[in-house]
Amino acid sequence: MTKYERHTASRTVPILLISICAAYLLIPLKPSGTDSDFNINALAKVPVSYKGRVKPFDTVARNCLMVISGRQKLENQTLDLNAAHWLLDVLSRPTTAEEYEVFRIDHPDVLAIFGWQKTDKKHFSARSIREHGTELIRQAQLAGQIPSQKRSLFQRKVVELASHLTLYDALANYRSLHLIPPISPQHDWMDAATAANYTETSGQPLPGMRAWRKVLEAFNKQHADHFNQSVKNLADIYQENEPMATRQARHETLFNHYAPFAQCRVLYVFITILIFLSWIAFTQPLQAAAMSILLLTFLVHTGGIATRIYLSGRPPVTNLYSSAIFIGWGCILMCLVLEYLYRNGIPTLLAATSGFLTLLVAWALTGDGDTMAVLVAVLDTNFWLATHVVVIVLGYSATYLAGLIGLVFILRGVLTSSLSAGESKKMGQMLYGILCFALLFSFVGTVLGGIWADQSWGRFWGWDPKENGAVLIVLWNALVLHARWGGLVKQRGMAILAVFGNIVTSWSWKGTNMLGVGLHAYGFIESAIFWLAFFMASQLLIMAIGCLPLSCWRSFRVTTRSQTRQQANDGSPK
Amino acid sequence: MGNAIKDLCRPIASLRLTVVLMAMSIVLIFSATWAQIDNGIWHVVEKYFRSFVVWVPLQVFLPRPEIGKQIFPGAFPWPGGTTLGLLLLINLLAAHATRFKLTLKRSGIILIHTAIILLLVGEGITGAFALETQMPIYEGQTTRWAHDIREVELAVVNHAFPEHDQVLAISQSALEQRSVIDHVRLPFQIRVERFMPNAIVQRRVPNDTDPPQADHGLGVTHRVIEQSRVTGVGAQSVDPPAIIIQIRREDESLGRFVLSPLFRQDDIRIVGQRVQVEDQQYHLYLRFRRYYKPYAIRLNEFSHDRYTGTKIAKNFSSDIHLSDPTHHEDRNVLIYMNHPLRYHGETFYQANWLRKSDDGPDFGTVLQVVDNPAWQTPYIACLLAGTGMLIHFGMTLIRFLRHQTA
Repeated sequence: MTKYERHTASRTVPILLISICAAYLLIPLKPSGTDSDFNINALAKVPVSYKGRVKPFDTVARNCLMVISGRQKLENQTLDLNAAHWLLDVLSRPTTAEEYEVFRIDHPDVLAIFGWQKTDKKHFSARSIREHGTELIRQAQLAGQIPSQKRSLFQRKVVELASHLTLYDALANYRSLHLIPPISPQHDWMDAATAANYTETSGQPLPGMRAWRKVLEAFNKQHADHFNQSVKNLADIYQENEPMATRQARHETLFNHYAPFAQCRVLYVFITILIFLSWIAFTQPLQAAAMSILLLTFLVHTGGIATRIYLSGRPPVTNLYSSAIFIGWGCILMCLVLEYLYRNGIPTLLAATSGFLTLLVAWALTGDGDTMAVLVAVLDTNFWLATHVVVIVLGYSATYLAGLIGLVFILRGVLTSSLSAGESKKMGQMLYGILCFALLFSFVGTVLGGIWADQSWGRFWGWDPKENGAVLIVLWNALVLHARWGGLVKQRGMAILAVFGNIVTSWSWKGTNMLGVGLHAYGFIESAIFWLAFFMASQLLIMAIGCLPLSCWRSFRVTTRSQTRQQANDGSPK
Repeated sequence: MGNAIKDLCRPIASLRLTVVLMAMSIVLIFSATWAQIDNGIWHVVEKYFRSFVVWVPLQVFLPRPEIGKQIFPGAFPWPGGTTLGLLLLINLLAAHATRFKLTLKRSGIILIHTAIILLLVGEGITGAFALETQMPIYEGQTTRWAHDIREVELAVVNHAFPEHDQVLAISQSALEQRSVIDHVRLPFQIRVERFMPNAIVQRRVPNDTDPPQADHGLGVTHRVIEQSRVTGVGAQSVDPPAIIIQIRREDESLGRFVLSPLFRQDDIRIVGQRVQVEDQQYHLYLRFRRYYKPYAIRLNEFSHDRYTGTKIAKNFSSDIHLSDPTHHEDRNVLIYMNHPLRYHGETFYQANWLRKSDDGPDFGTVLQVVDNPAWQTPYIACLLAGTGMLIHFGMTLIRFLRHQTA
């Protein structure tokens, strides 16, 4: 390759790769073509109140379908429906909806109470479950007599399935959906029965009620023109009566459809691959491309969080799902600073890895339902959510990032010869800096949490599992730093200890929530606990690798050898 | 002389010791977290954190055996929270005595360490002096006391006076330790036959073969059954004790009684059991230990809002009236979640509410009343430590960036 060719490659490769990614980010923005004559997308944007929060019909449909079936779409050999279509069928065409195979059953013992066996099929229709309804109810009642923490996995799965059926029935019977907007600021959203009752007693017709009835009737008769006309009418009524809610619902539907975090997840994998490739060839152009794409993806990630703040009116972290997204965001932000300072591609790799992993965890947590659900009274304080929670989650981020740096230090040192003395020093500096941040955030966050506790129930410190978890992170970070200051460990020791920080943080973030739940699940382990244990074991393995004698480290072996050679050449004494 | 002290301090001040103490604290806290699966939080705090030594059973780290199966044997001793806290404090003070000079460069670290000392001392003071009590009030009722649900007392009450009641209360420790209770102001002698730290109450079935536990009062129709101590992660629940006592006067039995705070009309009113002594009537109550207050609180209204169509609580609030003649206070206060009332060293929090059944209507509030002389220390500590870390790490960062550009 001539110098000129190399020059063009270093220019064109990044531009090409960035364009591909930008195009990828734009794909979902194109309006989705309606494959049917029914304008269901228009209906999906209509606001309704469900579980105490006003949200678009689309969000209700997606969340309910996610809870029941583990997916946001209804797809199999014969069907391809989006969530809103499914919910519309549940509401207006019950006999058709009863046949949809949406209820997910994994556990073989739960299948057995229906007389079924484990096959490829994991989803079952409401009708086929109802055929054995009495047995399911009997089993659920038996399990219901035991406190939830002491139930076996089978019992928990039975209760879960029964609750899914209840959720479905409440939707189908219009009990849980509050479709009708408040008639005045003093009133609340009304469900169908309350609205009918109101019309009867007051003699006042509710326009929203009549419009909904027309929509459902038209869909029941599968009359496309009538349906589209009545949806338009319905949307107009809501636009007039609830302009704010309608606007928010429209934005939320767009947000659901765009799914920024799913987009980011894919790009983070792509960036990781680019960095790996850069170590083989085209180092400079590929790393430059990876950094630019990281910035682009980070913008989308940030936009996603900002949109959630706008939609929920809450600070970024309110539950486990949002904490996962925010931990990743915090890690990437710190990595961007590190990349700016060091420019060696490693922080980009760390950013992409942490971004992908945390978004994967977040995705696994969407099965719980609405990710912007209303908050119980004690959490209903934006001040403490914005201070304590944000700071402590940044503490998690920094501790995880320190662990990740430690992990890369160990693997790079043992498996490759690239960890020269200079690189080792650089990574040591990064690790030290991030650990300082980790201590700052986790300490301040923990004390702020104590102050919140003092504000809300009069006890600064109660030694409960969550508080203990937080203080463990503080102590661990303090321990690593003090060991460093005392000269007990150097770069390698600090890296090994930092990897243990991953275990401590995971314990505090996830493990404490599982206490007492997992312990009674004899014979079976719930998948979340399995993954947590798997993660912790893998970190212990990395630490063990880090403890291998230096002669097993390819990087250090090379340096020792080259030093010896150099010394031999110099003829200098040892 | 000064040097001799410094030499003595040096090993105590070592960073190696700091790291070891931190590691030991981590093990202690980790064990105490697991121990909370079997025991209530109060029990664990006393046993692990407010102690010098704790024996940690190996079983706490393992899956719990099914009921009736053998538990995993063995336990190891470990320094308790008090020991580790004191040692960390000594280590820190010694370090400052020997290593740290009072310079600008060290100012961040000195601030952080002052904050740590404050937190450790504050936790010690809280452990020793803080008092947490609860004040249950019905709507419209005026209350002058709060009770500590972790301790009971036996109250002998004479309701004969129109303006007030005459009360003589016997503490839980007296009930646990003594078998006979005599007091000049008691019209009779109390013999404690049995004290159960945790017991439930059951109605006796008509053809019960066991003899009744009492011959007077509710013990004729009910019986108490001893239970093991309360368990569960973060359980705030109570162990209700029970006692079986005999009332005697001049070698003659006035009756044997079964008392428990579970003998209640509704949520808080404990039913008294009558003893007749000549023409006087006394009522016996086993109730949670009461602390009488120099002020009165009336509950005007309790509100419990829920989100539309759900049972999720949106807010709890108590609209109360506070009257304290000695301090010339007579005003309405609204106490709600995250917004307590601080009044003359005590803090009142919205803690719970009263209702007859799970779905029944609410008819009162429960306020948590906390008297903690050290409540301000965390606020100061947080400020000091935050500033200290910003100074220290900020200086490190600036030094690093200068080095980088140089």
